[in-house]
Amino acid sequence: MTRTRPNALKVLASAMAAATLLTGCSLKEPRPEIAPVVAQSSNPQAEHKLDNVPSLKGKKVGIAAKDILHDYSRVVYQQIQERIKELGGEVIATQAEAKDEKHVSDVENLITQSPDAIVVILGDAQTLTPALAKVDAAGIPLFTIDFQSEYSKNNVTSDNWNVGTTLARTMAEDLHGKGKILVFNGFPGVTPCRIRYNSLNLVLEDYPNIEKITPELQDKYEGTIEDAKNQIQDQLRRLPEGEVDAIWSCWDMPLIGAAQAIDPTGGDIKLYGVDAEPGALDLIANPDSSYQFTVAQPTKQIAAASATNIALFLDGQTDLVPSTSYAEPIFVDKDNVNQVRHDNGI
Amino acid sequence: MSATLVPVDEAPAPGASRTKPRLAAWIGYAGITAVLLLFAFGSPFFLTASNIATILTQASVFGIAGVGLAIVIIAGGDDVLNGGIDLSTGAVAGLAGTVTALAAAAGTPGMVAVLYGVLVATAIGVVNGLSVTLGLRPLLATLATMGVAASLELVFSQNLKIAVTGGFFEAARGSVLFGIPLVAWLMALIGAAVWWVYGKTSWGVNSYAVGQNPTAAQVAGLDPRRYRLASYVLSSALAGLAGTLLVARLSAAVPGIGTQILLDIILVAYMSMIFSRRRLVSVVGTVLAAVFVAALDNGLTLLGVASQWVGAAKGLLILLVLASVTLRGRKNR
Repeated sequence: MTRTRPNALKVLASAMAAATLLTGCSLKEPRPEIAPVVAQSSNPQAEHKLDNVPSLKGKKVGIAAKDILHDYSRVVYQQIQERIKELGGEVIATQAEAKDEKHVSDVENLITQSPDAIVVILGDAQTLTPALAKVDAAGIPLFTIDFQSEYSKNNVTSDNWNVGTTLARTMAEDLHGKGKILVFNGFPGVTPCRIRYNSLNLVLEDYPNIEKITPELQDKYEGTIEDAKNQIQDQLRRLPEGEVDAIWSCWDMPLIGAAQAIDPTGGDIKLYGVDAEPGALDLIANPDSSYQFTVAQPTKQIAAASATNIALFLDGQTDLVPSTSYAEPIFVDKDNVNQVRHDNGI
Repeated sequence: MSATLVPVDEAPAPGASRTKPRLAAWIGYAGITAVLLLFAFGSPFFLTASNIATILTQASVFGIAGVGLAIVIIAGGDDVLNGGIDLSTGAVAGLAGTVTALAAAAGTPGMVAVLYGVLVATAIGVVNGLSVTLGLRPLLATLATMGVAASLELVFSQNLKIAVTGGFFEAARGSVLFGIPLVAWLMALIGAAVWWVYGKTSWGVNSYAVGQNPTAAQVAGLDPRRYRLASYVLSSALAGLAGTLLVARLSAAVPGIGTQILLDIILVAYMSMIFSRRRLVSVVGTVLAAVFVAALDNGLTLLGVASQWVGAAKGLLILLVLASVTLRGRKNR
């Protein structure tokens, strides 16, 4: 599988490197610098590329999203619909309310309509793969967002290896390489979570004095915040005071609940998540909150990139469509949270 | 008791003329036909063979579990608070699926693994039945076992999806006979068998009798406990079977799926009333309701109704159909 990044991102990476040199930051710094906040709309080259996208007029695109329960999936779901319509295409949009069975049914129902392409946004690889095999068998090009599939012509995703290792290294450095952490072990069937969790384990190999408290915590996809709050309250009662130094999760939702459990107690426990949920950003912006770090994903850029790849593919320009298109993440901490929110409108 | 073997659901409503109930019996069919015609004219894909197969596949799990719940309502009465209800049916389906997946993952042949799942489900059905016959309110007793089953599912699965592979489950998921999915045949077979038992035998007539008027049935020499115990056991066994079919469909046991499917199971069982001239829950009506609910999801998607509106549109259509039946019934009194 070839992995390429859009040209816009190469320019962005070059700009980051130049900025690093100009500001005199050391590349030996173990904790990665917070990425410059550059949304797609502020990148002229990216705008130019989008302007040259082939029309989708007369094309019908089915969308099967896993859910719109959290901000990331909701915005991507809305944005890709808007982008396809802007390009002249017709959209058939479904979202499965986080139900695996409905997600499979949605894909099956889309196949029936013989659309020109189907886009799957998030999902569980195990339960969805048989339905995606039907998409492939029906000769319908499949595109995915944050979902790795052997049947996908193109998957647009954040660079979750970068996200995962940066998240883990940031936490490890904040703990000065020593401490005990609670881990919400996420959803192994969901590709971004699996990569981030594996990245955590990889990073911790180099931090032998950071110990994961067992058993790991299991997060729920629905009622996540309340469930996580209860779980953390239970853990704080179970474990000796001061035993927990940090909590890690592959997404923000459980940590919002964790912060609700920890912040009123004034405990010195640091929280690290991903997705830049508005609730998480509010907490990070609060200097008294335990929430330290999250990662924003450029949702508009992700949606636009997927629509672009669909248009290129259906226009016959398949050689311009990479197997994977990576979007550059934006790392958010207490120092830059207000700036990131201001610049990106999140 | 010597039962007259006239199917209960076909008997005329008390006090009604012999012509009006016939119209009432058809109003549900008419409403549903109108909706389906709307889909057929609205989308050229709706009546294609592949789409009908898709709808039948999607209906099967809810249809089979719904038939089980219909049996409970038949023998316990359709009073939601005090009558027959089995809130554990979704969680039992989830637990049975998890047990099946774990057994299959441990190398147990697929058919035997399914048997394990159904047996575990049946055991919970026995607990439900005994609880109700001992005098516990069905709503509360099955709420308790729902919690137990959901908790056991999490314990066994460790809140992780358990993948199932192998020819048996792939065959259960993808096999087609005469153009119709195997699971749809299974739903039809179970529906027909249960319809025969509850519509054509003295056991079925007696079950309706203890459900509709337990005091009168007792005076007539029937023991309601016997019929109710059996109904809960059958309900859980069918929920277990539905759970294993869901595992095959998703190629994995999914923790917590029981709570996701419970409402649709209850919906199809109660919605069966629209196919009854006396507005009673029925087996055939449950199977038809399961197909209709699946067709609603499918048809609304085909019409391009935005996904956020599908739930509301579905609820509104169901409400309209049920209201038309209820209003028609009042006029006939």
